[in-house]
Amino acid sequence: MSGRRDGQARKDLQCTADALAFQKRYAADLKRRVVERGEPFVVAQADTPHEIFHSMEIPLITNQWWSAYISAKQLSKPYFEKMRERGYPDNGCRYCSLGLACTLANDPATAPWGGLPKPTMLVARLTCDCIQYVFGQWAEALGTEFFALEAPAWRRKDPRWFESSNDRWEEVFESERIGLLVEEMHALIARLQEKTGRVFSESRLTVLMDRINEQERYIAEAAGIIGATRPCPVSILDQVPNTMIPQWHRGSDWAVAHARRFRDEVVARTKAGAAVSGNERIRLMWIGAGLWHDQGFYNALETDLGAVFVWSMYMPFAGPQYIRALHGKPLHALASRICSMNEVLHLPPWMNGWMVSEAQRCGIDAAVILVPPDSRLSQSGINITRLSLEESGVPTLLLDADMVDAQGWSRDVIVKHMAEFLRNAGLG
Amino acid sequence: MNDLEALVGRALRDPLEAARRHAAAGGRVVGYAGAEIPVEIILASGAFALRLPVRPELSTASADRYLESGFSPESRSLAAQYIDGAFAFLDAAVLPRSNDSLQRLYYYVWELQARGACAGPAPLIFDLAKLPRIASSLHTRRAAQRLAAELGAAPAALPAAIERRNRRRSLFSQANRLRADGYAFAGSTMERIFRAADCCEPDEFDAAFAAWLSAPRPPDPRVRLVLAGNSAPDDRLHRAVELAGGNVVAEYGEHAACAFGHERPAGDSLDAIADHYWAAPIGSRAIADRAEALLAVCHSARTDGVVIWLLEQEDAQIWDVPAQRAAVESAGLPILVLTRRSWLADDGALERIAEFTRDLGATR
Repeated sequence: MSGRRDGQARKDLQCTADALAFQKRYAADLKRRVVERGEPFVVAQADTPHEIFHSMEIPLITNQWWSAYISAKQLSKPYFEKMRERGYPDNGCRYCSLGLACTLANDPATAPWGGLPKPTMLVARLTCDCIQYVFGQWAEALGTEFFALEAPAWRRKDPRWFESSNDRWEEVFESERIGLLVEEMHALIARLQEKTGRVFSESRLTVLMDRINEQERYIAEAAGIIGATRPCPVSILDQVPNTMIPQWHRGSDWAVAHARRFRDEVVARTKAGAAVSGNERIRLMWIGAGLWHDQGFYNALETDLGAVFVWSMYMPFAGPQYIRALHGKPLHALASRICSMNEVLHLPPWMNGWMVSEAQRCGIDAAVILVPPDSRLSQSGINITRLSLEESGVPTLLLDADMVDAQGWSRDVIVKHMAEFLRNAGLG
Repeated sequence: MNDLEALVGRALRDPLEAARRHAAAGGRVVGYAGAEIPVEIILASGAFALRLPVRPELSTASADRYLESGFSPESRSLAAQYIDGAFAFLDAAVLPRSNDSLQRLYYYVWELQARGACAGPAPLIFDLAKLPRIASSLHTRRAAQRLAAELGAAPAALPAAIERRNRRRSLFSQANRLRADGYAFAGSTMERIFRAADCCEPDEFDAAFAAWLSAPRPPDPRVRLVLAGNSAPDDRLHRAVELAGGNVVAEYGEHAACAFGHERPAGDSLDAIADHYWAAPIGSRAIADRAEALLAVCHSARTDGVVIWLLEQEDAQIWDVPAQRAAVESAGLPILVLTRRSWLADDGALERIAEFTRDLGATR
């Protein structure tokens, strides 16, 4: 195990350090490209078709990554204070709006990269009521345009969606919904070509999609091994970066190679009998976004209670939500990946159906659901999921905390709270 | 008491009574929520179109178990009534995709019904897209066609249904114009009428409303206010203004008075109805400059001041607050902004509104 300061997040895998180093180099290179060289770039939500930007070689900043970056620099508090000073009520969705807050604060001395330069456009799916407001105003503040994508209703309610999503995606996600997003992607591509001069090629997208499938199969394989192995060989602090950093670069040479390397390291650790905790007694599930401002929290229960966070959504999501048989229709396959990305994570019956199945697969003893106070999207579906998990024998704790805003967070208090919850559930 | 007052009083005391009576007589009843459901399609199916009422006086305990805190109080009230069986007599219920809480409620009710925890009809969803793009407009047309098929709306019945709804549009528009022109219509009375409208038998209501509106009114000398933001559970905000010597003469936002927007559908086909709702500048998903729109309402209503009242659960309209405040202040109008408020206005909001109204009266 790597040495660390007391309370700092511990990461065990060599490939984790390499992924983080790659991302740091990538961020520096991205900064060079968009800030210093003035290349066109896009700011987009995580649930948008990044593959379009990648295949057109347009640099991309993901809003969630940018928010986590700002948050990791402990800037969320001052930026939200600036929002309040500007007259914004402080019950706005923080996860979506930290980038806007950073731009409106207009403080190059503190902002990462001195603040974002003007992007080619901002892209987001309208998955909740606030998004068109936040992104519309952010685009205006940056002097650019906002390209919104609809988030249509989903009538086919199959709680076992994950069993057929790889291949029968047209049936699972509905051809009409997929068709709408394909039409929107055509409009997006046309606008990007017009604004950047870069050309979209469907054959290039097909190659990219095939490579993404390869990448996600490695991640899915690793997820399968981790869920089935006792004691858990890889902590979520290693799972998340090795899934998400390649995910931001999905289909690139580095991302495919890294996913394979991660899978190989997981296999090696499993064969060697490596364990996150030498005292694993309780297997935990973390539901919701990562706790980006205090990742050391995840390690805090391991020593005293033998409680190990075995599962978080990012890695197991790769298999059912990313792998797609192309069926000769790469844009449609891509649309099927994107058009329900939020719904399966935040709405019944998809969310609870998948979580219960995953808890069973991974031998989960108890679950923790992050409940950010001011993010309706992130709150959505948690009560029914909690009921479903508890009905399946998994005690579940709702944890009131924000993923990027450290205000009000105390690790010691929460660890005590967790310990009490586990004791009350007969697990402590 | 005149016919309209009696009708409105009955409807607000028991908002389901007329619809239940219709169902008991063998008629079909279709409930709907929000201002963005094409009621014309419901009417063309031959059903009584019932706007599902919010009921602040009823417990929401049954819904609290399932709904997170971010749900709007209106949707929580509807969820509780759904779970408690109040809507079991409906033939169908239609929820809008264009309102975040209500579209989530659609999925939650499906799930709860699958668990046997909720009675009533399986909800339908009107998949309204609002982006100013041809793909969204065509998607909305397909959504209207699907809803018509689901409800059994006959194309031949559509022109008459649109005409009935246009009659209601005209009455609302006339009432709002008279208020803006300075005639003595108490805001609280208007709020009650607007709220009751879609719980009543439509021909009876429209006839009574038309007769009531035609009676002469004197000019109203009171302090004039525009109320913007969220809708309270009843007329309590309006009454707070009146008790302090003012009158709400116009609303802006998701209020019953604003349910229709300004324009009529540009035809009598299903596509025309779909296009109308796609383009209507109502609802939180509409693409609109809400600061400019609020200012336009202030000018047309010749208001003395503006109150923006927003709920703790509101996460869309709050983003317009700085721009709206700046627009109103730049017009030289006093403004009171109350955010993160309790739906029941039991958090001091009524007192703040009354104080603001009295101050306006004193400086007039």
